[in-house]
Amino acid sequence: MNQYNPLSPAQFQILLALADEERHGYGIMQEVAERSSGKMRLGPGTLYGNIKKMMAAGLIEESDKPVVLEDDDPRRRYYRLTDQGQKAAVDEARRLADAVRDAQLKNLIPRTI
Amino acid sequence: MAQSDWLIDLSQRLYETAVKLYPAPFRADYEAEIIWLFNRMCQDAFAQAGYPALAAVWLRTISDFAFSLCEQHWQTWRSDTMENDTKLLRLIASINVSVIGLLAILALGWGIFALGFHRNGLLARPFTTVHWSHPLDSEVPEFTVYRATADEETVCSAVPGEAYTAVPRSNIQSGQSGVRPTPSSPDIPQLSWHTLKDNYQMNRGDIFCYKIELITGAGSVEKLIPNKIGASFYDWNMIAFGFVSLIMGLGLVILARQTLRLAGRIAEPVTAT
Repeated sequence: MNQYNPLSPAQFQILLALADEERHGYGIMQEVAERSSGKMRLGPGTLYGNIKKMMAAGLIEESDKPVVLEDDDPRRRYYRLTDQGQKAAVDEARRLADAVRDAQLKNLIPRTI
Repeated sequence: MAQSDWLIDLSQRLYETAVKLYPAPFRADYEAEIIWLFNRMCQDAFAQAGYPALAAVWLRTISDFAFSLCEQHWQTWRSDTMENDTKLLRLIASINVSVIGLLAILALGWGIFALGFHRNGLLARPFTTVHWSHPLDSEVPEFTVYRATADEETVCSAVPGEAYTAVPRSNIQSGQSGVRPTPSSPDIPQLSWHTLKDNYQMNRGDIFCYKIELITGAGSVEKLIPNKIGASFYDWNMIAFGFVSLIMGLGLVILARQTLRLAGRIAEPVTAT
């Protein structure tokens, strides 16, 4: 476990959203909502508050070359994982997996979900 | 669509106004982006499900806004406070540690002395064995000087060169609220007694000089020697003072250590990022 773990749920979700590609804030928000089937929705304040904290912690960074789309707005900024962020995400995922395994051993949840 | 544009535009304006409440550092970084994002949220939601979706966006945003507003202000305040602390610590670190160390040694030394080893201190008092030597004994043999306490012990003190009044010891009563000549001693002027009484309000442990006049002629003076310096009391004022000095000394030691630590830790000025 590194110094960033455990991450808050919102931070972990942001790391997950950026795990496969660079995204802007709205893209992160949409990805989180879609992946969690709408169970988790990040508001603008929460999203950018966490982005600010995670950038300060070195978990994510602004992308040097933003993806330019047709409907791109200059106010958009793209974010990506840093190596530290990647490691923090992996560590957090393992921690959560361990917690799930413990819960299964205690028969709190079925062995196969 | 005109109505939807109007609603979305109104939503955006309302949210823009609300965003002004975020602390300045946060706004400087994310104001434009967060407003753009909210605008997109409103447009997409309205396009998908109309008014209910737009209302849902607002409901989620209000709670999110309230929470994040408090959080951002708290973080900004904490960041400012930490920056001020760092400035203070850097100032402390700039103080020459040897000065602090010297002050610490002085305070500790004085504290230990006053608290424990002063003649009426906690440690030294039980072992006080110094006997007072009458300064006038050799200079003015026909005079003697009494210094009395309300305790049973009497101790003496005098200033060389001063004229003293002498009285026999039998005329001095100890253990009362004062040391005074007995009424049966007609040779003691009442004025002297009153003067003494007024000038020296006696309490247990007090020491005062009692001017004694030779009234019974040469050779009848009774000397009160030897007398134990220190009397039979602890000097609580000195002990308290010593205790305070000791605490101050320990505080200075901690400050010196902190200064050394900080001098190493913040050798470079912190640059704003």
